[in-house]
Amino acid sequence: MRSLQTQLLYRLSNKRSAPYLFIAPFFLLFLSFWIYPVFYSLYLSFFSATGLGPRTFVALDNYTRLVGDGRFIRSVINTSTYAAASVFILAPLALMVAIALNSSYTRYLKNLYRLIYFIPVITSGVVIGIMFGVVFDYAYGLLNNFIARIGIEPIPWIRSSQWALRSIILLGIWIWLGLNSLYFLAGLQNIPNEFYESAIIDGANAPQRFRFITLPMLRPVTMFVVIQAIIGSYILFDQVWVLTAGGPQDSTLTMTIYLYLIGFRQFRLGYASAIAYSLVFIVLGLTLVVLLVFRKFGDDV
Amino acid sequence: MRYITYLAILLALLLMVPSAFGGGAQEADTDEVELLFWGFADNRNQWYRDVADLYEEMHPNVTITIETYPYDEMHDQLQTALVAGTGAPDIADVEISRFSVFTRGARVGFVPLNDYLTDDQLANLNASAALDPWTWDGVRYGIGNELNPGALYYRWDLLEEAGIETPIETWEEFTEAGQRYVEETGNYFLSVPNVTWGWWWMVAQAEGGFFDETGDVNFDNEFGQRVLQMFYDWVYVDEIATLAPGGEYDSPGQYAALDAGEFAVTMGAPWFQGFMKDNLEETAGLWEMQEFPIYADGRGSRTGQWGGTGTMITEQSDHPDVAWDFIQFANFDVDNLMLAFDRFNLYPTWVPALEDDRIYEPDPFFNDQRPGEYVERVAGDIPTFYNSPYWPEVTDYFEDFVMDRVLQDEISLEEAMRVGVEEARDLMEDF
Repeated sequence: MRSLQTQLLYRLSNKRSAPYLFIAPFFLLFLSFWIYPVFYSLYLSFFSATGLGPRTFVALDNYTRLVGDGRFIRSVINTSTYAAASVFILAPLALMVAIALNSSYTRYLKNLYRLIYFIPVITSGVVIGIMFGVVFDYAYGLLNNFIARIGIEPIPWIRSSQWALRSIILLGIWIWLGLNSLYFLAGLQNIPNEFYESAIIDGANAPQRFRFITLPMLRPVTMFVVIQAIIGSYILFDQVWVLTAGGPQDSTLTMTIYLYLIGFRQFRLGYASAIAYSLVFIVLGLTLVVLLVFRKFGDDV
Repeated sequence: MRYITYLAILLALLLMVPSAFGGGAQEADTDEVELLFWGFADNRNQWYRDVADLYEEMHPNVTITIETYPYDEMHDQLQTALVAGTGAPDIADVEISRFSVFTRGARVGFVPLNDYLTDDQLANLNASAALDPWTWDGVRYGIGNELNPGALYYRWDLLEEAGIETPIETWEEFTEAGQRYVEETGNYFLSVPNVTWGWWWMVAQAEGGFFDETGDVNFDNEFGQRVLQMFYDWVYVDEIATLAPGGEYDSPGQYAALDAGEFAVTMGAPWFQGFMKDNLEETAGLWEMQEFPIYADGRGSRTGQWGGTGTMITEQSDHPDVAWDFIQFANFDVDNLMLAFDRFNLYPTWVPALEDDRIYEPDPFFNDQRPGEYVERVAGDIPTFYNSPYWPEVTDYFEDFVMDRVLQDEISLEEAMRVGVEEARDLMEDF
């Protein structure tokens, strides 16, 4: 027994195995806490597994059921709306902020701006949720108090089903604007100044320079930002859970919140796994679409 | 050669595992018992810790570990551990609205207590609060130690200033008093919760609650309609109430408004008295309580079961007998229950404890009223609680699509109840 251990130690002490030994802890944890659950969840999605006790194989029933589940469809629409806002409102805004930060006018305030925009990113989603519960409250909220002073009627930010998703989108913009601006800023600073100089000599005006130099040069960064926004939107959970828990009237029910409700509040693990996998397929599909679009866009240039 | 290296790494790691855990459990002294308890409420757990200390003194071979997790996290973890078949504690606190999901599978996951409970114990427990919420198919799985009859709390100073006499006997008088109060002060009389938890007292008034004894949806009964109509009228017709900050009574905004005197009335169970003491420092001594008014025609209920938590033994416990002995020690012992009363106004479901004088002491927070007398007076009026495996779906649906929509004036009450009951039945059939 002892000799086996000694032999193993001897073998491990040789130089070639050392690197594997160093990375082994990560891969063991990765396999047991990541890869295993991922595949187990796929397996579970073909079963009816409610509560404790035996499971029954139901093949694709969980997936066909999803198609007719109104709440699931609602959650897909809500999440997709949020994702669309991230891509079509947040990303352009972030680009504008980055351009502003990059201009020579803001040179001296750059570090301050960077700090202000970065604070939300390092704050936990739960803290943000609790904070904005106070900000968005109808009768006693900071935001309504503020807009009342400038003569605007109070808005039921998170209380009404018409407004709640918009407020969540607004909150999302507040959180992610800074980080995305930084990505764009890094991209902007990587564009060699010579391009602009020669364009100016050739007589290109500012919009032309933006259209034919800045945008094409930012293509990789933009693609990264868009894909990140899509993934981030589809896994959105904590702020929304704390702020509205998916309500009022399911108006902010995201796919992950629905997954949580089904998995834990309703204890239907098979069905929850099917929701998880539908989420994976949607994100995978959208990412492929984005890659294709950007490739096509790239060919044009 | 390379494969041998990989194999060597793997084997070495495997060999490390047992040594990391102190090398097997065979040699353990069989008399040593370790119990793990999971709970989610700080004050309950501090009390369980106190009682565990006493128990450990009497039984030196027993070690009890009390662990506290946030509400959602604890219940989620418990479900996960029971599904996984490993990792669950010996004893767990399960909140009243989180128990029913455990009844959905082939197993419930907790140790049946029917054989443990003696006839003597059964006779001494208030069944509607101690046993019914944690009973399924006649099998008892948990012991609830809190008697939770909801009550009405009011600022006696503000009401006195406005010339309003207490106690208020009927809801009709309550509404009139509210109108007078609003006229006098310009402030709202109370707030109305429109999301989670707010409906608990509606259950109380509705003489039965969300489900009837056959398991069918019951929130649309005469009293359910009556209470929701009253809520609606307070906000939109009588204009004596606004929707509660954060939509519920247990929210930072609501406490701030209460402490600032923006509302004169609120409602809650005895556990809420502990929350009030923790959150309303400015107005201590300015509160009094009374039972719920009833309707002028004599219908309605003076109180109702409002929340609660049951203590259970999980099926994974290696020492269910010791765990039960500890649960009995904590929950069926007058002195130990008094420790909980001192800590967080727990009114025990163990009837002999209600005979203890200490419960009837005047409470300075409530202007030297005797909360114990209130509880004693109404404890027998708690309407029966009918649980259902569909509790999560139906109550969620009710909150979001019936209560909230009516109170936001988006749909008429008749329409909301009609559609609500149909939808709720669909949810149950669909399952």
